[in-house]
Amino acid sequence: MRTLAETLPKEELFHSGHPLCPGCPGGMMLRWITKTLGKNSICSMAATCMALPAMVYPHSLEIPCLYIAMAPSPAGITGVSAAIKILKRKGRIPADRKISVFALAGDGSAGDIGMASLSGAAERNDDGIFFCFDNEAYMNTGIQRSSSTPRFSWTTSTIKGKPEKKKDLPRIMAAHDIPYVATVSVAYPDDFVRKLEKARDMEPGFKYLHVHSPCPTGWRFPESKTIEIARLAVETGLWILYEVDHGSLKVNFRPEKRRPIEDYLRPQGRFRELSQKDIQSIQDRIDNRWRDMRN
Amino acid sequence: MNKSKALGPDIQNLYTYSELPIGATAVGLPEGRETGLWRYMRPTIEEKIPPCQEACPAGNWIQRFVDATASGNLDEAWRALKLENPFPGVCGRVCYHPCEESCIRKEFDVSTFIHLIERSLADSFFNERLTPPIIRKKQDKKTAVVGSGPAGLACAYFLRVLGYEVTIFEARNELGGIPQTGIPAYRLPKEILNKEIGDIIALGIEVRKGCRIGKDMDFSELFTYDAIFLATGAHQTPPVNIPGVTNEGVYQGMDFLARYNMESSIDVGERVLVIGGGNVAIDVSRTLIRLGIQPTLLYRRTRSEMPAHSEEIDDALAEGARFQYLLSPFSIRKSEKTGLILECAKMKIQGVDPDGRPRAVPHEGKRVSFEADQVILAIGEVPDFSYLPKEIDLIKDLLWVNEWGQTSVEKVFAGGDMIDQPWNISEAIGSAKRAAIAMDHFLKGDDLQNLFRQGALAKTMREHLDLDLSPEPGHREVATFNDLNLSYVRSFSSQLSGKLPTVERICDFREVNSGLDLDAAIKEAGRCLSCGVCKMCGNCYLFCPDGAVQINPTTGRYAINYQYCKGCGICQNECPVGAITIEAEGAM
Ligand SMILES: Cc1cc2nc3c(=O)[nH]c(=O)nc-3n(C[C@H](O)[C@H](O)[C@H](O)COP(=O)(O)OP(=O)(O)OC[C@H]3O[C@@H](n4cnc5c(N)ncnc54)[C@H](O)[C@@H]3O)c2cc1C
Ligand SMILES: Cc1ncc(C[n+]2csc(CCOP(=O)(O)OP(=O)(O)O)c2C)c(N)n1
Ligand code: SF4
Ligand code: SF4
Repeated sequence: MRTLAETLPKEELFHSGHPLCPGCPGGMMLRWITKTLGKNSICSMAATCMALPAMVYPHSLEIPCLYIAMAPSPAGITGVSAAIKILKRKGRIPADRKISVFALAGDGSAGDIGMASLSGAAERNDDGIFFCFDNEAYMNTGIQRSSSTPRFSWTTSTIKGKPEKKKDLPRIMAAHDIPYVATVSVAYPDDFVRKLEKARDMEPGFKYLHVHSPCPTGWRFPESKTIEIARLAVETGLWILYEVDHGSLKVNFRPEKRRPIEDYLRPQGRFRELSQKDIQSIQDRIDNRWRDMRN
Repeated sequence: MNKSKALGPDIQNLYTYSELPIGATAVGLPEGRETGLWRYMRPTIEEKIPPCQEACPAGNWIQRFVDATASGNLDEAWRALKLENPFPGVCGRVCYHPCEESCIRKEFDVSTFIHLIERSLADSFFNERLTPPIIRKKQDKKTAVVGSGPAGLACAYFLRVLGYEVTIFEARNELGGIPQTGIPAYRLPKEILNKEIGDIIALGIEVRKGCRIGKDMDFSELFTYDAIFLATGAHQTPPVNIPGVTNEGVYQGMDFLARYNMESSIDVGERVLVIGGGNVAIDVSRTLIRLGIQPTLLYRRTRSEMPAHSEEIDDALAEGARFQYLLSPFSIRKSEKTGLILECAKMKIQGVDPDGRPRAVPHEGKRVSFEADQVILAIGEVPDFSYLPKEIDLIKDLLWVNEWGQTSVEKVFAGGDMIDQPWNISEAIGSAKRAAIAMDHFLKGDDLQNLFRQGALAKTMREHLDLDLSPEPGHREVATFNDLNLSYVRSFSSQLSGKLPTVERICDFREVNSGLDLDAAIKEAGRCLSCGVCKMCGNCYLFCPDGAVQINPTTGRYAINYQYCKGCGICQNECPVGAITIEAEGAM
């Protein structure tokens, strides 16, 4: 069987020489996205760490990119896809030319600042793929809490740990009844690319991919461990890889035996202050979630 | 009229990055931004030696043939296997497989069954000739090999691969040494052995059977050859100081096995005693069982000190051999009625011998005696050096050779049981290969001493013939458990190959251990972790956030571009096989 490394196009459209931190999950994510969607794609980019390599000269992202404010990156999908539709109708772009439109936003813009815009584009079922790069805080401005920051996590604005729970954005998006919602992880590139290809090849409409993205800088772990932490999130059952394809839910990976959540929490500096009780409460939540997932 | 013209450039071509109009956005890729300057840790793609390969005395190219098997590329697997070993069918059966002892997979679930994969490949190519994957062009030199055991035949094979003319001199009328005369068919079927011998000889090797050097031909005549390899094994019974060993009914174990194995019949009574605890004693006992006799084996120490292979001891016990420990024979006499009486001293363990084994000492003069029709002594053999010229040095009871198998006489090399190394088949093959490579250098007039000092003397054919094309060969470390990332491995172990049921196996000499069929072998090969050897899984390429790992078009292998590598170390962390090392930038 050919490996993903063999089947993905060799050409890099997200170039070396970018300013992302060493070990940044965004680097691999953007390489896979551009390899899968190819040159015929247009990006609507919110303000996020990912905007730096894309929009600050010189550019690493070798595709046309609309650098938009923090809230309206979903509206970028709306506008660009509408423009393509009109230009095709007018015959200015060949009708059979497939152009993928996607938006990329951090969890802060997707789940907080741009939530209304995201919900609106989804409800209108505008044609494009939305990526939420979930590094669980506002990283680009220095690790402030977002609604996607998990409970108990340290950030520079929750120095004693965040008391509130993490917002479950993919489930909110699934509730919009759009054609496709999927959770992915940088530790599972085969699953990532398969889902992205599925979204790319689907009929026009709004597709949502939520990327679990361990950030060495913000989560306080050694930069060599990005994939290891991402994998532990899945192996402990904290991050569940699933897809909702036209309303039908499928869990793509069920760990044979879930590892204790401590394995995931311990290597991360942001969880250093957790008590045994806190850890147990996270464990219980995971166990309950999987119990619900069984049916 | 084309409306788009009026609006400016043709919009049809506008949407790829390089065609964006300057001014709409600044266009430019970051080639010049050398993020490699940020790096303080430096990853290096650096393959390592799989520990199984390091442990294989024969020098098999294990990772290569196992990996090729796993991917269903059986021809390539077969080529890699026979490049290093002309006896895969024999070794797959009777080698004690130290490779599996050092298999890293053992620490995860169970070791990969390397010997069964080797055996399965040999069995599936049984009807094809074992032609070596490469034969060098004819070299104008003649070589002689004395003895046709595993060492002699393997050396002849490697010399032939290297293009030399070879003549084998064998004292007996059959080729094969101990595997032919000593190892019984229930462990090594004759057709397997003879097929592999036949394939070696068919490469164009001259054979002089029935020619015992020192008796049928003088050693000095060998000096007409340009180089000579000695492998006459250890076939002489050392003087036994037990009164009565010359009595009728007392056999030497090796003679007993050779007679049965070559003539397929032998006269024995009901009561047979076997003395000893090694391979020979066990094979004699199991042969007797198949002749309908339940032998009693007497050993001077206890089970845990028996030098025989543990699995075979278990097999012998399962088949009904009786073992009595801590008994040491001290006299054999003729019984007044029929047969013999063997008297033994009872022993006890006290202290340790100089070789580190527990010492058996007589137990306060206590004795036991046994009646027997036959007594078979299997207490060890020594090499016979009476045929050698004086100039060839010995050391203790063995032939002296240097690190590359050369004796004190320049053009004479030696290997196998007659030199100082463990007595088994894979060691015999390894020593023959080492000597064949040294002989090749010798015949070319190279300075062996110098080559050895530079570490330029290969131990394997792949190195000697430059066939290992992995990146950055040269000095490599042996891979360890900690080098691997086992997150990519799923635990599973194959159905182990079985044994013939005991009731069936004691009736005849059918092979006891069954192998794996090809499908099972391919599946089993998939369990190999490829320790230290890049399998082109692509993890480093996929996971590098900086796109700094790419395939080098000339080698076809992954390489790191240090202009952009920031040294995060993800590639090293995620390499499943441990082929990437990382150290502080600038460290030596
Ligand atoms: C009963 C028994 C069972 C064994 N089982 C195993 C096993 O399961 N696995 C394993 O790995 N090892 C086993 N061994 C050990 C293994 O067989 C030997 O280590 C191996 O055969 C040594 O190979 P060799 O080529 O050095 O010598 P040999 O196999 O002993 O061959 C030497 C050859 O030289 C010939 N020869 C001797 N003198 C002369 C002369 N003067 N001129 C010409 N020819 C001469 C002999 O006839 C013989 O053919 C066993 C040994 C015995 C005795
Ligand atoms: C409306 C608005 N508020 C604040 C900012 C400043 N800002 C730029 S990037 C950023 C952080 C974004 O965080 P997130 O969306 O989670 O993306 P990340 O940087 O973590 O990838 C912020 C707050 C902005 N650009 N626009
Ligand atoms: S802060 Fe985190 S998400 Fe942002 S560039 Fe650094 S590693 Fe990547
Ligand atoms: S993953 Fe890339 S950037 Fe990180 S150490 Fe390896 S080659 Fe360098």
